[in-house]
Amino acid sequence: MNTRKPRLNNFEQPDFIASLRAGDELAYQNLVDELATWLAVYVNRKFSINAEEAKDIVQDTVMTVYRKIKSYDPAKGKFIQWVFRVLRNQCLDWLRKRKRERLTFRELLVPDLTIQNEVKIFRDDLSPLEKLPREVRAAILRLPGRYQQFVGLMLLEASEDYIMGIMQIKTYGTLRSLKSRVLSKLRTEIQQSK
Amino acid sequence: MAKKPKQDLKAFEEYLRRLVETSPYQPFTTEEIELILQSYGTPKDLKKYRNEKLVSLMAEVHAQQLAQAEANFRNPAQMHKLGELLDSTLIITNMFISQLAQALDMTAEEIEDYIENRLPAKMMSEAQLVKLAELTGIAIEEIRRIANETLKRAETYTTTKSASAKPRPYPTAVDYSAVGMIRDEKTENER
Repeated sequence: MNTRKPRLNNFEQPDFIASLRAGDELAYQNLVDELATWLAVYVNRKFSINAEEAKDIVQDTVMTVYRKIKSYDPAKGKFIQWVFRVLRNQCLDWLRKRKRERLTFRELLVPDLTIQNEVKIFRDDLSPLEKLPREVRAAILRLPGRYQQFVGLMLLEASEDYIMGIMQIKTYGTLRSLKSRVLSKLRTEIQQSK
Repeated sequence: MAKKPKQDLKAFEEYLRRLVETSPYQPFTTEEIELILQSYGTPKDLKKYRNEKLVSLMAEVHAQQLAQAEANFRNPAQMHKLGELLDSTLIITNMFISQLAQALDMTAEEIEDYIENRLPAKMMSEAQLVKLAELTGIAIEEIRRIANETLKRAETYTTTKSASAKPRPYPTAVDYSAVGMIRDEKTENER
C-alpha cells in the first residue's frame, strides 16, 4: 500500500511563504508539485468532478492563492486553511456555473431555492466536522474519504436526493445501507479510541 | 430488552447531531487537513501532475505585479488611488497585510478595502499618511494628492450611484409583437 502523505507542514514555514511572495520559482514548483496534486485527487473524488475539470479547478485555486498571497494574513489562520477556503470557493463557482448551464429557460424564471441550498451545502460540507470535539473528528478522519463525505452531508441535513446526486448513488436502498455502514464504522472507531 | 441495531444507529446519529449543535467551532489543524487529503487517495504518480505551465504562469504574474509596483514607485504621479499605493507597498516591501496594518496603525480590513476599491468606514488620517510616506519614501505631498483623489473618486461614485432615475425623452420599450408574428409564420411554413 502506498503510504505517501502530503507534506503540508512545509507550507507553514515563514520562509516558504516569504519565498512564495518574493517570486521564488522553486517555491511555486513545490506548491504545485506537492499540494496541487493532492488537491486535484481530492476534488476529483470528493465532488465526483472529472479529473480534467478537477485539475482546472486546482489550477485556478493555485493562481488565486498566488494572486492574493499578499492579502493572506498569518494572524488569521494557517496558510493551508486559507488555501482550503479558496479551493472551496472555486468549487462553489464551478457548481454555480454548471448549474447555470443545466438550467432551462423556464427554470430561470422561477427563483430556485434548491440551487441556493445545494450551493450552501456544497460550500459548508466540511464545517460540521469542525464543530465536533477533537476525538470524534479524529475518528471521522480515520474513515475512508467517501464515508467522511457522507458524515459531513448527513450532519448538514442534506436531502437524500442531494446526497445521492453528489455521491452518485443510484437507489435509496444503497443510500440507506451506506448510512448504516458509515454509522457502525464510526461508532466502532470512537469506541476503540476511548 | 436490548435495543435493535437499527434503533441504536438512529440514537448514535442523534448524538452526533447534538454534538454539532453544542460543541464550539474549531478549525481543522494542518495535520487534520493532511488526513482529509490522504483519505481521498494518494496521487498514483505525482510527476504526472507536474505542471510547468502553471509555474511559469505564476512567475509571469509575479513579474507583472513587481514591474507595476516598481513603476508606481518610480513615478508616483501615475497613481490615483490609495489602494494602488498600498498594494504596491505590500509587493515592494514583501510585508504581510497585518504587518503593514500595524506599521500604519490601521486594521488589515481597512487596507483590504482600499485595495479592493471599497471605501473604508474611516479614511486614513494625516498621521497615517505621514507614516506611509516614511515607509515608502514617497513625498508626503504626493501621498496627500493620492488620498484626495481617492476621496474625490469615491464621492463621485456615491453621487452617481445615488442619482435618481429621470424619465427618458425617448421610448425604450420595443414592440416585439411583430417578431412573434414572424416566428409564427415561420413555424407555419415549416409545418
